[in-house]
Amino acid sequence: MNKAGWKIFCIFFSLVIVLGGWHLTSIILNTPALPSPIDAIYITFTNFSTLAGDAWISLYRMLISLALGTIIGYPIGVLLGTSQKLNDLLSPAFYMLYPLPKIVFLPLLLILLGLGDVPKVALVTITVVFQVIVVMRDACLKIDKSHKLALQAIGASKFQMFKYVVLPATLPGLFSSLRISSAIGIAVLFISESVAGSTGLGYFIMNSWALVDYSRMFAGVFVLAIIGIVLFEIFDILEKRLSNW
Amino acid sequence: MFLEVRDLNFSYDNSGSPHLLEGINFSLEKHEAISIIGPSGCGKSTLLKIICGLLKANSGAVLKENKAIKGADTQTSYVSSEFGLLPWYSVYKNVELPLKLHGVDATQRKEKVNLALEKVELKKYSKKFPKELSMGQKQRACIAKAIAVDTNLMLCDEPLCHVDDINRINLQDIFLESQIANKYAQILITHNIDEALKLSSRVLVFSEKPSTIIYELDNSNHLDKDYLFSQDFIIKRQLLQQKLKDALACNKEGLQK
Repeated sequence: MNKAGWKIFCIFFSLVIVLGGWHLTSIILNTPALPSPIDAIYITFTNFSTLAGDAWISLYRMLISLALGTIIGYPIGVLLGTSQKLNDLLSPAFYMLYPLPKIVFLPLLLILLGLGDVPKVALVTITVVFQVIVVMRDACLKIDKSHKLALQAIGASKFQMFKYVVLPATLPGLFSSLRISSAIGIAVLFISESVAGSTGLGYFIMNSWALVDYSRMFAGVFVLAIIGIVLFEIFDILEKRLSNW
Repeated sequence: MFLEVRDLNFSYDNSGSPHLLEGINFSLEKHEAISIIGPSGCGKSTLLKIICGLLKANSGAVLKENKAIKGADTQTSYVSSEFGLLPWYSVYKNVELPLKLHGVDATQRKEKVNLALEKVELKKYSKKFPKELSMGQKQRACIAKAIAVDTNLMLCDEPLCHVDDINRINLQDIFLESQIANKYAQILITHNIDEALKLSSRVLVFSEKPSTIIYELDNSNHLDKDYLFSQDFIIKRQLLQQKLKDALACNKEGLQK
């Protein structure tokens, strides 16, 4: 079996495990609140256009948030990880803010930014930023001193040090932080979409719940899970291309 | 005089604690190779870092071609058992990196990298990553990286301490051939007396810290044919063994010659 075939087989195998477990649980519990995956998948296809539209809205919100979170968080994390003074000065602030559930900022963001995409993207971005900052700072602190010395010994500038040592050394950590961020981000996005607005999978799922249409609700959950797979696959591909060592 | 270390004192702690290096004085001619031996932790590696411009001495001076060393120098190469290869780059890219940083154009870079890899017999491994190489091959790659640039001073910090005996002998030959062919000055730090005698025309023995030079051995006949099998070699080896024991026993005896 070639690599692509093996990959497809693995995804298929995982789906069978998850859907099989789901199906068994639904049989055991025998409650309308947990429909079988067959019902949910059927509803996914019958509501395809609505679900695809909402899935796309949630996906682009996630992608923009991940991109913004990386653009903002990566340089801050690198600065903290490479400057002892800055790390000493700002770390306590990050330790205070990092454990806070970022969802508490949602009411404030809704008041300030309205009900559209912006507050949702802002909230997920805040979640991603903190994750990226902390992981990147730690990744920088863990860079082997010998790698830095190797460049210092040949007179590398600070920019060259970043380009040839810091960036490649922190890329694996960045992808790990993005994987974790995307999982947390999806949860945060789900809540923000369900609380405010009328678009996105979060709204679709909670609206279905309100209508007591559990099959429709789980169709939304099923698509949300597919978004998770898509994001993880994107990170896997990028990691293999950019840090294949 | 190509390199001069004059009255050098160094301490990692600025609070007035005893120096790690105290009153170090020696010089090096162009194309000359010397070795430094001494107890672990006596500051040999620190001395190389000072000469390389990575650390600043508390007092004293390091002059290269009569100019004080103020920072990393593009014509000084540093080979170590601990660092040299970046794991995210192939052997080729690792060897190419110093040239890239020194602004050498792409055509010349390719030429120099291929030549250096050929010299250390590593050309067929050029696309491999460091993790795919044996310890001996990694050391060869480090040597290639150092000789690819037009270096005039090679600083070697125990470059062969992690390699097995067979690789050690091969790599010693590469070091020797490279130094003679490329005509650079070389300072080698080693714990291996035979290696010091094989690769250098002078051997400096450092004492325990506060470290100073307690003995300087003239070994200018090291390139003679059959030197390694000669009576002279055996006597010098025994002498250095004794001096190393002295170095461990005493803090400062002063320079004896």
